[in-house]
Amino acid sequence: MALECINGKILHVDLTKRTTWVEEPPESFYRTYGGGSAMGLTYILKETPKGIDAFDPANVMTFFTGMPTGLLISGQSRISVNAKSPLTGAIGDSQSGGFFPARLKHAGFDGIVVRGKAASPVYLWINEGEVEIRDAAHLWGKQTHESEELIKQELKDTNVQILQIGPAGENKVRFAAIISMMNRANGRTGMGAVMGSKNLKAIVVQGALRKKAADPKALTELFLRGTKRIPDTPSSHGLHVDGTAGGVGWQNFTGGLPTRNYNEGQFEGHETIGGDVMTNTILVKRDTCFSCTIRCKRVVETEYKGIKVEGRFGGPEYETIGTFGSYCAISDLSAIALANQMCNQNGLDTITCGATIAWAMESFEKGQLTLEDTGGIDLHFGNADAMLKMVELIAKREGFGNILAEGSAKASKIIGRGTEDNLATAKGQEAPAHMPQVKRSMGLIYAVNPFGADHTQTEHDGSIEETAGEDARLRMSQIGMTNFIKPGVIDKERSKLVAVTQKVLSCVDMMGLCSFVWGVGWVLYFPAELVEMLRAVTGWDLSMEDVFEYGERRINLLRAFNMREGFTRKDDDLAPKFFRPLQGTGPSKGIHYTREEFEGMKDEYYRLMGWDIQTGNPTPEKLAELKLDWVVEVM
Amino acid sequence: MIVNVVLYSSLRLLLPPEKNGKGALEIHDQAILQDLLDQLGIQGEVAVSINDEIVTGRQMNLKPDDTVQVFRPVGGG
Repeated sequence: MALECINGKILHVDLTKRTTWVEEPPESFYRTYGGGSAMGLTYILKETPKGIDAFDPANVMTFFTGMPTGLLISGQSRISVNAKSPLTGAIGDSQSGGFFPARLKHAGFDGIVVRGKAASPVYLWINEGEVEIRDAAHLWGKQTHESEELIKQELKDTNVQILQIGPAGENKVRFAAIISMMNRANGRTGMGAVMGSKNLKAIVVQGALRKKAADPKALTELFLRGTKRIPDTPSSHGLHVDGTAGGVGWQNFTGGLPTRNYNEGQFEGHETIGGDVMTNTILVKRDTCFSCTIRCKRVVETEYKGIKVEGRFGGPEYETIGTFGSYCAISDLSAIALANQMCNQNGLDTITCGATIAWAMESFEKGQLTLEDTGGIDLHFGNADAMLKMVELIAKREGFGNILAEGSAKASKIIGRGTEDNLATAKGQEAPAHMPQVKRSMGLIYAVNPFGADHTQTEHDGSIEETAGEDARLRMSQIGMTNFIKPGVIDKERSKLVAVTQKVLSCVDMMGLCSFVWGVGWVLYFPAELVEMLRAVTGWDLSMEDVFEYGERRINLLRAFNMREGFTRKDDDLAPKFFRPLQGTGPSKGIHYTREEFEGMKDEYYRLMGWDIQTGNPTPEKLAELKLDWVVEVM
Repeated sequence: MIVNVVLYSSLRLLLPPEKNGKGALEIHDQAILQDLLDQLGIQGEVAVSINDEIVTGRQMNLKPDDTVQVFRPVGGG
């Protein structure tokens, strides 16, 4: 019986030739690659020429959902976007949720492959299998809320779902995001800038072509089981009540809240920017993604110096509160909420945007940047007005914003003067708000992750430390992790944590799943239930071994792209800051990696991944083991 | 005896709203940590510190004036 959870159709678009066609791959394609970035990389690796600029029209761009996407269960409506990254020069990868991913499935396609560059701005209109490339000249230059309204008016349909770029993507800001619902972002690695370079303003979808699980009864039972569990699951209930920002207090307590551009781990203003404060002051309602019962998304309303922050732009996540808050030493939640709104209006990644401004602030404090450089803007830590002004200038690529629009790593090369020393990056991407000085394996994933520093690609350290509770231990045992180590100690188990859970979370990503619902620790479902769900969706006889294999295949495809671009072990590194003792207060003060222990963690990780320890790259044998023999041919 | 509790994130809803997660709680003199968590109605996976030290088990005795902080140790987004 045919697989009913998918459309079995992939939309291909050539913007240069202004043509579209539909591919109907065999079921074996889905069985091997699952979806998401693994599926996208099969096109990118075969077609994107080696060594091109990320803004070259030949940079193939892919948008892929997963097999469960669009079905009635929590945490399945996500889409992966991939292309060569203009921020890092490595593979770009970014996921987001909302309603667009499910609606793309309902519109008749499992994924989209975009090639070339349109002669003038266009948008893609997909309606139950029908596809049209439409003129978007009237949308160019518009912010996301303006385009959203104009497109809905034009199509006479207020229920269409729109994935779009804002002015930042059009201006090729290297960390431009792709936005949907005016508040969800494929934020990381600059995928919005690649879309902008193709003159592709938006992808609009509509449809009601519902897909079916192979075992709908089992899927419904699992859905209800999870929903009933939420009130008694502190992590899931906490996400509902306070959102991801509910973790601010814990992060600060452990000394893991990046402060003043990652120089300290505790922020004196943390009590005014946490999720509880947001809930008690500016939260007006909670929002959710298609068919998810957790409802972790924030909708806030406030104002900062007379400028309104509107509910339609959502509310800041933990990462956003970190980068625009503690990174910049800003303790005004309304200013942070306004920065979040501006990023969603203009299409900017809040992590890299806030972190890049924090990098500029440290450089300014040290006198490496002056008022002459910044155009008269006082970039001292804590200056919320200056932070907001920089967000505006970055989106427009005006004044000093034109340099910061390159991201901190490239900006430091332009400026020099020792500002490279202030970076908190890996592969040129700014580190998220989870500190390797506290979560000791985090620096390893930041370094080895194919698309740069990213906190979502490994389980965090608390789950394998002696402080882990019964729930965490049960979850870890389901993925074969049974050793629990002392907090803070660098141990081989940390490399194993990264190698094992990166595979699980890679499977989660490629299947279009949310890692607050499906994953390892601190989420709604247990790892064994991930297998149970995938079996119910596909009807295939899957096991945890298949989860590992799917994830490993994705990681190897991403790494193969980087290998072809010339990346080696030396690129799996952290900025020098992570090797210097942390300043500030709290339990993380003085902590850093030594070069020896860090390289030792990498050795063990490469060994566990079955890669060449000298180069850090996948071997032909490993690729063959994963049914990726063809990758060797296209290297 | 009286112990001080600080409940973070959604756990604060277990205390009256005006407390915003912070308060002094009376508990029997032989109480262990699990008794306190039970009294508060805390179920599931949480992280706990006593007097600023993260603790592993739930069997340790509490002392008068101890400060017990309970967290939902997750962050992301």
